[in-house]
Amino acid sequence: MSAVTFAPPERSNSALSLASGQFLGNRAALVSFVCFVLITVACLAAPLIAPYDPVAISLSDKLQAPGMAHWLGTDYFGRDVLSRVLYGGRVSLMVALLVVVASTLVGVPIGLLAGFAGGRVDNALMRIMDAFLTFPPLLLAVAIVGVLGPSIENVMLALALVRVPVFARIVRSSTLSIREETYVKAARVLGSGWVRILVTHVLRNAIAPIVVQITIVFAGAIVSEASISFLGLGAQPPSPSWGRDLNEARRFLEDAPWLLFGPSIAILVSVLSVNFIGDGLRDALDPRAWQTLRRATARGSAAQGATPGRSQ
Amino acid sequence: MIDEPLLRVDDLSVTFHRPPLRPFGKPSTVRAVDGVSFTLARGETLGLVGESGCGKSTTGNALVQLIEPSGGRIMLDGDDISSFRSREDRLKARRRGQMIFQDAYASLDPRMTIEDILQEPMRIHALGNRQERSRRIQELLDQVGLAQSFRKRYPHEMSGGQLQRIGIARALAVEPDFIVCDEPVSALDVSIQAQIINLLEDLQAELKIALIFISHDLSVVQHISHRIAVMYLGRIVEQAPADTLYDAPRHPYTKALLSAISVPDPVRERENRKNRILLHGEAASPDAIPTGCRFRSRCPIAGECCATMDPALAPLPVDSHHDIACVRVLSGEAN
Amino acid sequence: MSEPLLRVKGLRTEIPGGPGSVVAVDDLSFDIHQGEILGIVGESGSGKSMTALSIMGLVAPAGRVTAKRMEFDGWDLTGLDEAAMRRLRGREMAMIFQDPMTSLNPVLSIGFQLIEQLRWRLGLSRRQARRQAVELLGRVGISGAERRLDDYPHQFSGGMRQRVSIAMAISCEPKLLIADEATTALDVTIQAQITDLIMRLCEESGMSVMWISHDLGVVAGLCDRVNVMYAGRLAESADAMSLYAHSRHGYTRGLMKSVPRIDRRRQRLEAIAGRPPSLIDLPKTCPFEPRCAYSTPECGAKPAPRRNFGENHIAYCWADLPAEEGVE
Repeated sequence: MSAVTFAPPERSNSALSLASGQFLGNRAALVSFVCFVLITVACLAAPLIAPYDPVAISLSDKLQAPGMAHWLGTDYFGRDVLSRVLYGGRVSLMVALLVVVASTLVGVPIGLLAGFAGGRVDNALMRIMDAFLTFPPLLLAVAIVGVLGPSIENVMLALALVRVPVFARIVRSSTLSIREETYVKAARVLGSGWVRILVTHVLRNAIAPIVVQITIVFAGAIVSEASISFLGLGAQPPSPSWGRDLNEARRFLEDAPWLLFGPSIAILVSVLSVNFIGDGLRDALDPRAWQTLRRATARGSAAQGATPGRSQ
Repeated sequence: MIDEPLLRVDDLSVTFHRPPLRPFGKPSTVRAVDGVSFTLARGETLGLVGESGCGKSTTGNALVQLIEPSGGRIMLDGDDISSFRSREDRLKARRRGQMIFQDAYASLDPRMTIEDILQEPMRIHALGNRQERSRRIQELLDQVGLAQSFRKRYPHEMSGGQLQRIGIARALAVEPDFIVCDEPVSALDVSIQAQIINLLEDLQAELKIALIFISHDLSVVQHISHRIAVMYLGRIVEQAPADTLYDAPRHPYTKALLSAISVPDPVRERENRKNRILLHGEAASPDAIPTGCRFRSRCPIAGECCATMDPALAPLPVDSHHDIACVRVLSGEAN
Repeated sequence: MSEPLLRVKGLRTEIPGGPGSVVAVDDLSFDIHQGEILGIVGESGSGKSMTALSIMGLVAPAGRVTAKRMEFDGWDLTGLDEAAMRRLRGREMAMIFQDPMTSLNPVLSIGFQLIEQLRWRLGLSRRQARRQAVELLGRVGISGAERRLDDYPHQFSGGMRQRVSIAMAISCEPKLLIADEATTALDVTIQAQITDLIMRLCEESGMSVMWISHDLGVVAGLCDRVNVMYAGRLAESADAMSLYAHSRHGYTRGLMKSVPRIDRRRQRLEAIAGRPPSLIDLPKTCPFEPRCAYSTPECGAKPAPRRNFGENHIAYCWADLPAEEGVE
């Protein structure tokens, strides 16, 4: 047996606790996470906490400024803006969430397959994706909804479809570079099948660009849903949605500017939080990023000489 | 057969196709390995040396099925593994030949813990249950001189030498018959190199594993190998037991290579410098292999016959274990 | 003895950042004389490259360089501003690297690069510069120089590229050439050609060379004097002959024993246990002590003394090493 034995200090922390430690140590991500949870919970609990019925028209109360009775004022039909924001979030957040989940689930495997298989498979898949990309996404979504009929489900379907190529492209390019890594070679020498290589090595190492893309798509979906609803193809009036209400508020920009506050702040805060959460997640999922944190906490002892000592 | 070697490589060739340089141009082919034959006995170390582009790494890659050979056979215990087509057969063959890489850090998935990395080969080949695997990891870490506390660590937390130990442990995990070591110590610091070389020697003595040791560093190869094959432009030009090769090299290329090695001894170095056989120019590129002998453009003893005759590797009349590919030396015209 | 070309005293290079600053070079003193080839040997993290960058004034702004004295050919390097330093670099001192592409622009022909440099640095006319460029390429052993001027760096092989980068470096006849692992990436036969070239250039022009390498063999053949560095500090400095014949520092000795040599029969290598220390908060005592086979009780307690062993041989080591076995 070899005489030299290296023994680093024992570490009890599991990968999970280190990852969550990294995430919790990131203040922006933490605050964003709390914000996002609060918004989601508030929207889910809208029937319990909303002060008014979001669709109850009361023309005598129309366009009231924020006050004790209506914290965020009322709109042209005298509906309570706060209540509409709470109820609207249920639509907007759900659309965004489902769009992200659906487009990721479809786009990522396509990208993995195209990047790893290469050759004809790659060409065929990517040309289809390119075809999708040649249309302006919003126009394409509108066309799909136009064909399928206006409903919030169809909006989700359309928005998810137009995001699929974005994921496919990003994952494909990561796959192309990861495929050439020595550790993939090593896995092949060990006898890994290609499914195993894709799942355990390629996907894991492509997680950073995917997470970043998810946050962008999430934000984009909220905004796109707003645009489509504005065209009357999404959430049907009078049911509330952030995007629809925001667009409606524009008509009263001069008379009742406060109408903008509710929906726009809701969109801003949720989009921003998702972005910061994405950043935090990306770091938390990368063992190489944990080091800074560990250095800071256990200075000197564990981290000593932690960089791989390769020669120049 | 009683004396059947573990590995017998017959006339192995590997050809790469390169896309054309300009549109509608002709795609070029590069013969990285061109008719290489050798054997490897159980528990033996064969050194493959040569300069960059000589095809030594490509040969290594072909042995572990990373590259599909374009010709020749790779016989493992009498079975031609390059003809295996079914997944089970190929998996079985893969288990018997493993590889360790020059850049150990790059060869380990940065998102996996050491435990996961060492477990992966056992998962792939469905070896043992959870407990048995865990016990095996313990054993492997012991064998390569690393403490159990490394299990939960990630590659970026470790030094180059430690990473290479993990690379070795991973190769050992499936109990292979031979390991292709592709420049395993070239990226390491001198003081760490010796640790890894010693470790490989110990493991070989203990586990009777055969090694193909690929390196451009002739001192290291001479130290660790039983037999050495010198490659030049996709061919083996000389092959002999390590001591014979260093004491009595016969091929002019081997002689030049050996004379270029520097020794940490100024007196000897300065002496050597005067007698050094300086080769002119650099190796021809593998996509423009000269006719006749590949080495003739740089060869100090090249004659007329060398331009036409492509020398085959053949044993010396005086020593059947010493093969060389040089028309002039074999015919006794030159030394 | 005449005044040295380069005199460094108490050089310290610090790279701040993270939990503590890394002291890449600590209290380093050495001279390089005119026409001398000084070898600097050490492993990664030993501070050998950082020493070169400190002298060239290329550490800022990431790091801080301080020195009691740092004089080059009459210039006080510690007091020079960036503009003056820039004039010195390239003209009076030049550097070549492991990867020659660091100093070559891939989209310009090498002729263009050489000629531009000559015209800008030496104020030559286009025709003079071209003639000079051809001559330079000839001097570094590139045949058909006239023809090859119009080639681009990627059309040259690794060894040829290193020759071109040497031609670039010596184009203004610098007094000091710093070579950082200049032959490490090259094949052995090419390595021998390049070291021969360096030696010839030194003899011809009286240029001094600082040869940074981890390869004890190449250094033995090329260098007049050798500095051995460990963890940012000078461990030993001596004439090549004296150093290799009788090393006085535990690290140097360990290093020599750990490399396989083709001139000795197969024997087990004596590896140095452990690995180099982190350069953060290094103690004042000998940094090699934890790995040293010759360590004494004093080693861990007090800083290692500077000891003289005859003329031109110093070592920072407490131990009295035995005469080396197996050396004739």
